[in-house]
Amino acid sequence: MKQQEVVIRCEKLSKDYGSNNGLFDCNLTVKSGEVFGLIGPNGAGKSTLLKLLMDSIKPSSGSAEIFELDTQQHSLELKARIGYLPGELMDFPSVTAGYILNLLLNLRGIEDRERLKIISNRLQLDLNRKYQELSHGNKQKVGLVQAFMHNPELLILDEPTIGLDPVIQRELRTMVQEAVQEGKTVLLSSHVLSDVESVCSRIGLIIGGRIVREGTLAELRSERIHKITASFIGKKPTSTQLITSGATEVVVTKDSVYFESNGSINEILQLLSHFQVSELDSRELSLEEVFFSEVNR
Amino acid sequence: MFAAAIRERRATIAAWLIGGTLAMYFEALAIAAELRDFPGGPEVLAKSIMPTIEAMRIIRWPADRLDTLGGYLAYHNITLFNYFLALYAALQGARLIRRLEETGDIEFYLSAKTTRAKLLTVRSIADFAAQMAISLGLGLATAFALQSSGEANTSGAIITFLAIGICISPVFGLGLLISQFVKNSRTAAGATTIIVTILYVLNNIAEKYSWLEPIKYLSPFYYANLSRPVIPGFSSNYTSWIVMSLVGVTLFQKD
Repeated sequence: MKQQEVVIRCEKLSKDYGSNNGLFDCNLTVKSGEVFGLIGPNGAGKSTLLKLLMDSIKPSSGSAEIFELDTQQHSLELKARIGYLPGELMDFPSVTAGYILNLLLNLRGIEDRERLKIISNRLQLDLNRKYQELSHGNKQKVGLVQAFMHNPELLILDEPTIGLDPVIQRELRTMVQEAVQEGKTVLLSSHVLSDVESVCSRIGLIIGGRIVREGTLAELRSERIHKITASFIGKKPTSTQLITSGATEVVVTKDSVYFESNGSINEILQLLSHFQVSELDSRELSLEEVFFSEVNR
Repeated sequence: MFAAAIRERRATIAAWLIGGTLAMYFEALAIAAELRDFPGGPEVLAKSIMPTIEAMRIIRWPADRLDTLGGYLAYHNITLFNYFLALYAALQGARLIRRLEETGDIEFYLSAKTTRAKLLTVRSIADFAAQMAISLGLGLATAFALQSSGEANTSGAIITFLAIGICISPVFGLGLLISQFVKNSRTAAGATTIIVTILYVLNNIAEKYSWLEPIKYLSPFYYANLSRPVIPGFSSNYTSWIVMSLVGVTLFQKD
């Protein structure tokens, strides 16, 4: 597959559960080799989007394509090429983890068990233990193994790190990065913003069923608000001067000024250069702060 | 997937067979002794207990040839097994897909290159196979109980239970159908259980009230009771087997 081919394309994809719940007019493009991270609060519509892509639920309107195939019309064909981790754990009774994974491999018509063993080892999953006796984290590993075990071209992972210990989380990040190096594409949702930040090349912030922000990490950074505190010897700029230069939330104290700037701070720096700055502290908002600023908007 | 579905049901099948065999065996021994030792003989016994049986009609019916071990067992045990097997089938139908949806297992199945229709069909066939395995096992257990009590009727016992297994299959489809219109598998199971119980009771009392009689034709228990060759002199009605199988398939296809 050529680099930067479109793997996922959603056009005005909606699923209306009523009472303003669901997903609305979702336009999304994920390209080959990307790790796209969906972040958003509970009930924002992340899992709904992933379920729509997997044809687990039917859309109210709009369309979705994966590998240029309609997700509803080519559902089976696409599932052969996708590894999907649902947001909820499975609940298979009275069988071992190995039995479940072998069953799911059989359903896929795959006889080779080598990759299943390799991935289980990497995630430190004991295949011989009864599934019901496993901890939450180990059950999550079963879900992850089934998503990776058939070497899919596209991974769709709903909250993949939930319940995993830090060692396994790191291993999972490595597995995702390896998948991308092999030319695969990953779409994941997460509440763990640091995970998204560390592994995703592009991020979509989804709130109230709508994607409100989307872009590469660099793009999001450029949109980020800088929080700046400057101390001065002698004269200091006035509020009006700072606001004229693009600053917001200006607070002027005896020796220093505090302000925020959204986007480029060149004009503000030019203004500050006319004064004798004794101390300058500039901080970008973290992804978490961006997240909360959007959520609270 | 079929083997996995059967595997999920193996404990239930085993419980049915062990419990059923024990119930049939010891009940047959007790009834055989009662028939043998009752003062005046089996006919007097049958006549003397009829008022009690009439009074308990709502729980068990029909009662035929109570002067024979096959007849007494058919009344005392098989009518109840018929009801409980129907409840089992109804619950399996009610939980078939809804339970998978509630646990989230369905997403794992569907993401593994399978369709909802295939999943539904394979698991329904597994449920039907389990139901028939239980029926066959109970038939064999009854045959063994009759043999041990001196009234051998192997084919009659087996055919009687196979008739039950087949004739109650529509309630599986009914459970499946109801599950689509309610919020969860518990509600579906509860609603289906109530309907199956009403159908069972109606069939028991229908002959007593002329205005109820036409309603008995809606009850799968009526059709199961048409085939009771376990009772000496009684035969099987294979047309009812075919009709009830078709009703079962039709209800299944409504999903």
